[in-house]
This record gives sequence, C-alpha cells and structure tokens, in this order.
Amino acid sequence: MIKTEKLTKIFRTDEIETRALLDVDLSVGEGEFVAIMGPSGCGKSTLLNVLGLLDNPTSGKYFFNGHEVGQLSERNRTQFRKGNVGFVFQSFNLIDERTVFENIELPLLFLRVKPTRRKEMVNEVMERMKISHRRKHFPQQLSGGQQQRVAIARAVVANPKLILADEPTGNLDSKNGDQVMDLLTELNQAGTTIVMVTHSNHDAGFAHRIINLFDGSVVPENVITQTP
Amino acid sequence: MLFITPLSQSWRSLKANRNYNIINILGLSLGLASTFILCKIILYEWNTDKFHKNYDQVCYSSIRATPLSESRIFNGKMFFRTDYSKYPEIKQGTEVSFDDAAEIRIDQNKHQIHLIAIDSVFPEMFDFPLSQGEYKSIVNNSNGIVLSKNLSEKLYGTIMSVGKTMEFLDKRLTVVGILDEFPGNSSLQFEAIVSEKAKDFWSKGSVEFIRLNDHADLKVLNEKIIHLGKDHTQFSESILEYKPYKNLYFNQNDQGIRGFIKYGNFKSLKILLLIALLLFAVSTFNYLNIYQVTLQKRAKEIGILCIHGAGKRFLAKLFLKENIISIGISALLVILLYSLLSPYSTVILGKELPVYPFPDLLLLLFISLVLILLTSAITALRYNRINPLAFIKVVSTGKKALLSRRISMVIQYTATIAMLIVSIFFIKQLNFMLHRDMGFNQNNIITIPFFTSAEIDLPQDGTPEEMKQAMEDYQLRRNKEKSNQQFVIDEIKKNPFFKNLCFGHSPLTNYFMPVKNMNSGQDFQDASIISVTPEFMDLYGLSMAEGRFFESDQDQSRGDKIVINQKAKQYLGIDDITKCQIANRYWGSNRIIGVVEDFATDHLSKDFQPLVLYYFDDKTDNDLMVEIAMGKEAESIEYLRALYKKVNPGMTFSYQFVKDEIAKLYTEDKKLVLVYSIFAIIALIISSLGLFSFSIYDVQQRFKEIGIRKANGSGTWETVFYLTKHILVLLAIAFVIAVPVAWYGILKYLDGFANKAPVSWWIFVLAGLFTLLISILTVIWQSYRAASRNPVEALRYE
Repeated sequence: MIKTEKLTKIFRTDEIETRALLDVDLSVGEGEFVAIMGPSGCGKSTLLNVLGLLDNPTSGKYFFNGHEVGQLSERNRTQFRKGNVGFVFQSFNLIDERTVFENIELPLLFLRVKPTRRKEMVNEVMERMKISHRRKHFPQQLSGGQQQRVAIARAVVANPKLILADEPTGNLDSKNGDQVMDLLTELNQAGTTIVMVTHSNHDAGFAHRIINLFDGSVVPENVITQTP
Repeated sequence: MLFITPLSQSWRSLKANRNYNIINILGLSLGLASTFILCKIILYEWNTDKFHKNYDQVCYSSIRATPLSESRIFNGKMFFRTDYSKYPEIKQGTEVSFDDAAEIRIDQNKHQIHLIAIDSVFPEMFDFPLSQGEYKSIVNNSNGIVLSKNLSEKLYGTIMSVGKTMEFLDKRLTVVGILDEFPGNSSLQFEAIVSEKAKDFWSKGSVEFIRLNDHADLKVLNEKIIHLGKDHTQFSESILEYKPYKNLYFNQNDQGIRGFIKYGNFKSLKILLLIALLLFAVSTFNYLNIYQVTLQKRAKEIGILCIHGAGKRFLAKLFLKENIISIGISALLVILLYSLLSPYSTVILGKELPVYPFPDLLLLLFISLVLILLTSAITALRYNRINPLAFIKVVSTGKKALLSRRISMVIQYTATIAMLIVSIFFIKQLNFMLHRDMGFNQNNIITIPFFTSAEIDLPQDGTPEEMKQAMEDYQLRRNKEKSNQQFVIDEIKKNPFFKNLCFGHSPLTNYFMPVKNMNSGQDFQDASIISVTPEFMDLYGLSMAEGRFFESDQDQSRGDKIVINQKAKQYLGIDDITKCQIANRYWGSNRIIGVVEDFATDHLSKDFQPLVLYYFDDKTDNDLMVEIAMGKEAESIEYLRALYKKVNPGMTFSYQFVKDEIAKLYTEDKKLVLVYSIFAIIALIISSLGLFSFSIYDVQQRFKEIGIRKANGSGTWETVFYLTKHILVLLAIAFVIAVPVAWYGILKYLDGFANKAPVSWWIFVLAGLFTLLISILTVIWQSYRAASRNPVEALRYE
C-alpha cells in the first residue's frame, strides 16, 4: 500500500541544515499494522508526517496505492488526504469549541457527505467507540481516554485506507492506553492499515512488524543499535 | 456552501476569545458609528435638492453686470421681459420673490417672517410637500398663506393653524396650508409661502427659474440669451446665463440672495469624506489586527481543520461567517450608538440629522457589507498558504503574523497621529483668524436695524381720492419717521454709555457694484461698496493712508465724493487720487477724497477686497451702529431696547455685536475644528483599544520569557520597559510617516488662504506626545502586572 524509495527530508534555516530522514526505503502492505520506533529525534514523526502527506520529502519517492504522491502541491495533498488517511495524535488535537459529534464529523464535512448520511456514519462510529452518550459534550468535559476515543473515531469515520497514529497512548494512563491499543487492533483486524509511532515496547507489541529508525535512517532488521 | 458549518460553531469560536472579541466589537462599533454618521451627513449634503423630481431639468438665471463682474443670481424675466415661447429649450419658467423680513401682525404683535411669493408654475417645478392644504388654494389666492410647521407653532402655538388669520400690509391673510418637512436638504430657505399676487411689487428681490424641455441643450440656449440685456440701460454690457439648479448649492461663486439661498461648502464636504475614510481605515485595520490575534490563538484549531481537508475556500467561508457575526453585532450596536451620537450632528449641520429608516439601514448594511468582505478577503489571503503542521504545534505561526500586525499598527497610528496633527493645526488656524487684527475696531460695537422705511400702500384700482389719501398717510408716516430718528439720535448722544453713533453697515456687510477708473480705459469691474457716514472712521478706528475721510461740514450725503481703500487704488490702477474719477455703473461718476488703509471685510482666508465707501446718511434700512462703554453692555442693551420699543411699538428688537458678526464668519471653521477633533479622538480611542488587546496577547505570549528574565535578575520596571519598547518604536515610525503626510494635508488646506497661521513645530510634537501618553497608559497596566508577578508562576506553568 505504501512504498518509499530513498525518501529524504532535510530542514533548512538560514544557519542550520537538519537531515531528519535519509534515504528511507520502506513498504507497508495493505492491512498491516506497523510500529515505527527509535530514540527521540530520530525522525519518526517526520516520517509519519511525510507518509500522511502533511509534508513533502526533499527527495526520493513516495507511492501510495501505486500513485506517486511525494511531490504533490499542498492543495493536491489535501485532496489526496481526504478520505484516504486518518490521524491520531498524542495530544488528541480535538477542537475545543466543537462537540464530540462535530469533531468526529469533520472529515465527512470536507468529503461533502450529505447531512443525513453524515449523521448515520458518525452515530455508527460513536457506537463502535462507545462514546455515543457523550455526543453533545465538549472535549474539555471528557477524560483523556475518552478524548482519544473521539480522536480515533474521527480518524476512522470516513473509512480511510490508512491510519497514522503518533504516540496514541503517550498522554494516557496504562488502562486507557490498553483500551486505545485494543481499539486500534480491532480496526486493523477489520482491514485498516495502521502505521504507529511509539516509544513504548508494550504498544509496539500490538503491531505485526516494527521498523526501527536511527538518525533518520531505517535500521536493517539484523542490526541492533546500541544506546549509551 | 456558505453554511457548511453551523453558525453556532462560529459563535462558540468567538466566545472562546470573548475578551478580545468584546474589545474588537466595541472598537469597531465606535468606528462604524462614526463612519456611518459622517456618511449620512455627506449624503445629506450631496443630495441637496435632489428630492425635486425635475431637479435635473431646472436652471436658475444668473448675470454678470459687465464681462469682468462677479456672477450673481438674477431674475432675467423681470428685467428683460424674457419671452419663453421664443426658446424651444424652455418648457416653463417661474419667478420666486422673497422677503426675509416680511412683517405680519397677529393681534397686536408684529413678527418678521421669511416668505416667498410664488406663481402657479412653482409647485410644478419644485416638490416642497404640504402636510395640509393644496397648492392650488394658494397660487391664485392673494389672501392665502402657507406656513411651515415651525412657524405655525411659533405664531399660533399649534401646527393645526389652517383657517387662522394675520395681517400683512393692508390685507388679511388666511392660513390655507402647512408645509411639511422638506424631504431632504434644500438650498432654498423659507418658512412661508404666499401668492405673488399678495403684493404688487416685491422689493427685496426675486429669482428666475426655468425648466428645460427633454433633450434641450443648455449651451445652445445660453448662446441665444447671453446678451438679452443689451437694450437695458442698466445692463447693456451684461452677460446673462442659465445655470443648472443642481450646481447651485455648492457654487458659492454665484452670489446669491442673502437669506433665501443656503450654500454648502464643497471643500468641507471633501474633508468630511477624508475623515470618514480615515476612520473607516483605522477601524478596519484595528478590527483585522485583533481578529488576527484571535486566529493565532486558534492556530491549533485551524491546523486540525486543514489536516482533515479544509482548503482555503473553507477557511475563507469560516472567516466570512465569523466576520458576519462580529460585524453584525457591531452594526446593531451602531444603531444604539447612533441615537447617542447623532445630536452632535447639529454641530455640523446646524440641525439634527433627519432619520430615514429604510435608506439609513441600507447605508449601514452597505458599510457593514464592505467591511465584512474586506476583512474576510484580507484574512483569507493571509491564510492562503498555511502549514497545518506548524499550526498544530503553534510554532512559527507568529513571525509573519507579528510583522503584518505591526505594519497594520503603524498604518493605524500614522492615520491617527496625522488626524491629531491636523486637528491641532485647525484649532491654531481658527484661533489665529479669530484673534487677528481685521484692521478695524471690533470691540463693543453694536449694530441695530433700528428703522425700516415706511411703505406706501396705494390701493389697487383706487379712486383718485383714495390715492391722494394714501399719499397723505404715507407722508405723515414719513414725517413721524424722521422725528423718531432725531429723537433716538438725541437720546443716544445724551447717554454717556455710548459714543461714535453712525448709520450704515458694518465693514462685513457689503455689496458689489461695477466700477472703473475713468482715466484708465479699463472696463467696469466689481468692487465692494459700503455706505458710511463721517463717524464711521472714528467708530471703527480706521486710518487714512492718503487724503481725508468724509466730514459732515464739508461733504454731503449722496454727494459725488468717495473714499477708497489701498487695495482699490491698486486694483483700479490709480496713481494720483486727485487726478482721477471713478465711475459707478449705476450711480454715475465720483471723485476720490481719500484712501483708507486696508481692512478686512470678509473671512480672513480671503485677501483684502477693493472697497469704495459712499457717504449715505440714510437712517432707514441701514443699521444704527454705536460703541458701548466697556462693562456697560447689559445696561446699554436694555436702554436701546426700551428706546426701540418706544419708536417701534409691537416690533421685535434685535441687535448684533460686530465681534459676533465676525465670529459667525468662522462658523464653518469652528464646525470643522470640532468635527476633526472629535473624530481624531475617536480614532485614537479605537487604536488604543487595539493596542490594549495586543498588550494582553503579547504579555501572555511572553509569559515564560518574563519569568526567565526576572529569575535572572531583571527588575520590574526594566521588564516593563522591555515589554513596551517595541510599541515606542512603532509609534516613532508612525510619527515619522505621519508628519509629512499631515504637513502636506495642512498645506493643501491652506492653499488659497490669504492669512495663514504658521505651521509650528510644537503642533507635531504635541500630537506625537499626546498619542504616546495615551498609548503608554493603555499598555502599562498589563505590562506592570506581568512584570511584577512571581517568576516561579511562569516557570512552573512551563
């Protein structure tokens, strides 16, 4: 489903050049659950942003379902993202001024789904996430675990092909964290491809495969990196 | 779809930053209300006379007595017996006579009213509506009168005065109608209408109006009538011209009939428009800036929307919806503010601005719509390309936005400081003109229209005996008049409160007549004429440059001697006054006995006029002028009032001090100063509200930085200075730009002024310091509060 060839991302300012990713080659099959791990600053989030079409690579190729999407303009990336990619963030990133219902329906609004159908889809996903009883509440009225369930609901409501999760349990206690990981596993079993960035070996254990990153590059599976 | 997200979401977003949005809405309401009121005033003035449906086709007659004379409004039909049938361009014509001091009597009381006399064509040409009665009951009725509502209230205590009567000359007039409020501003001013048949001859003056046929060419018509007066003894060299009525109001070059025609000031209107535009700009920039700040605080929300597929169109619609709500609320507040601020429109218009609900709402809607579209478009442009990731992390969204905010602030403050500089200068210029020496004594000189001439009432179609009796009655009245005049003069001269009694008009009341230097070969050209008596020189403290002034033992009233001023000597090309004769187009030739030093006879923006002074010892229809001893004003006025009542029973005593007459010249200037100052202060208030919001946001953004600085030894006032110094820089930049802009504006305004106040350096400094003071007061409290907090609060928060 996803394939990168020599993906490189360099951040440049007036004084400094930072190589966040260097010649990253990876592929993720449809229906896979892949965890990306590595020390802080190794480029995990940058890789996730590129995979999620939130950013362009500096060089290299990125194929999404056979389409080369690496050098799309921001406008085209937005168009491509809609309905294809769902995001789950560590800090939930819900909109405080919108209710749970309104937060979840967001992707459907931009897909121009008709209001009646929108309502059906949101209700359905809220049932799945067991948050229907909170539909009219605002994010600040929910617990951390509930907020993350809302964020996951939002990520899946449009039935995207790919979900990208950036430290989804980072701000949660272990119990809520487990619930979130169970949800992601369920989604994956239902056919959704998931790529997850995590620091947690426990969370990585839910994945089919782990990709290790070190200093912007993928570590081959038979190389173990030594950290002081 | 505009309402892709419900309005309630936009409302919630606005509520989330309610403090900023409240300040923003308040500032915008103030700016919007001011702009709205100014626009109303401008439109009111601009639409003068447009309520007449034939407005575009009506023309008035004007004449230049000689090719070099000033143009003035005229009644060509009366003088030249114009036969309209000879001119296919003319559909119809009417003559309107007027009397701004027509005397009527109700019971034993006399009143002077301002009336016009019309014919049957007048109501076809003009649309002055009647709330009661019909025009057909007045136009052929020599005993009918129509009153305005105000006049009806004044005379009868009610607007329901139809059927009531009054005496006018030898007639009993019956009120047959009531004039409604004019549907807009009118250049023609009157409070009563009678038929032209109410009197045989209207001495005060009249104006001819014509209505053109469709597709008539005014230029062609004017070519035909230009020398219509060539066979007239008085106007043989005249140039006659019909001019569009729609140009009358702003055409102060056409000297009009005092009291009948009101003129607008196009220059003042342009200044008002400029003020309106500046205020609108200041309000818009201020609103935009604060709105940008609230959007920055919602950076994460915007980032999330973009990640999930919101494109620039969605964002543009989002901003549009939010602006509709904010500006909509402001518009509602404007309606409230309008009722508070509109009485001040009397300052500018001399009366309260009329309310036309539907057009006013349309105007407010229009201004609001422009604002909504402008602010939404600018915001959408700024958010055209955003990095959603950066917005989510609320990183690096600040620099570009901060720069644009600072630029907007500089623009705002440049406009505000420039307005302040100009308003301070206007105050200085006004003060300069009010206190400048006019070249004559102004102090404690009072003018009173003491005597009006007796009129001869010859009965129409009277018998010879009746005619004879009328003449005898008239002669008796004339004799009584002369006896009264002498009585008054003797009484005043006896009283130690008064000195230098004379008859005539103040130096500000003058007429224009064509004169020429008979030795020069020049053509006739207009000069200002003042009728005086020998005491005029001492009364007004004039000085002679050459020769002598009139003397009662040497000169005769209505003799052949004149005095001119220095300007006239130069104007008429006179070298030696003893070898020169001046011809007056209407009054024959005169010799010059003296040249008086120049003195001002008009607004000090104008240069000295060429003056010719005639010795006319007419006591009727001239003012009695006398100087009152200092400190004795109240008693003197009472004395004069009693004297007046004795010789003019039943009439209303009125007087004016020359100083007040001079002050009236500057009524427009005073209005302009007040308007400019008020709106400059409003601009400063709006800008300060913006600055206040920024200081709150700024302090919040730098909370951690403040904590770190304090932890490392920075004192409270050091921190305050650190937080506010960028404002000082921005104000300095705004000041540097505002100075030349304001200077240019001032020079443009003074263009053509004969007397200009110097543009002193302290005007600029004062405006700058005042702005600085207000700005510092605005931000210092927030900065001090932040700077004096315990640093650990900031560090622990992080």
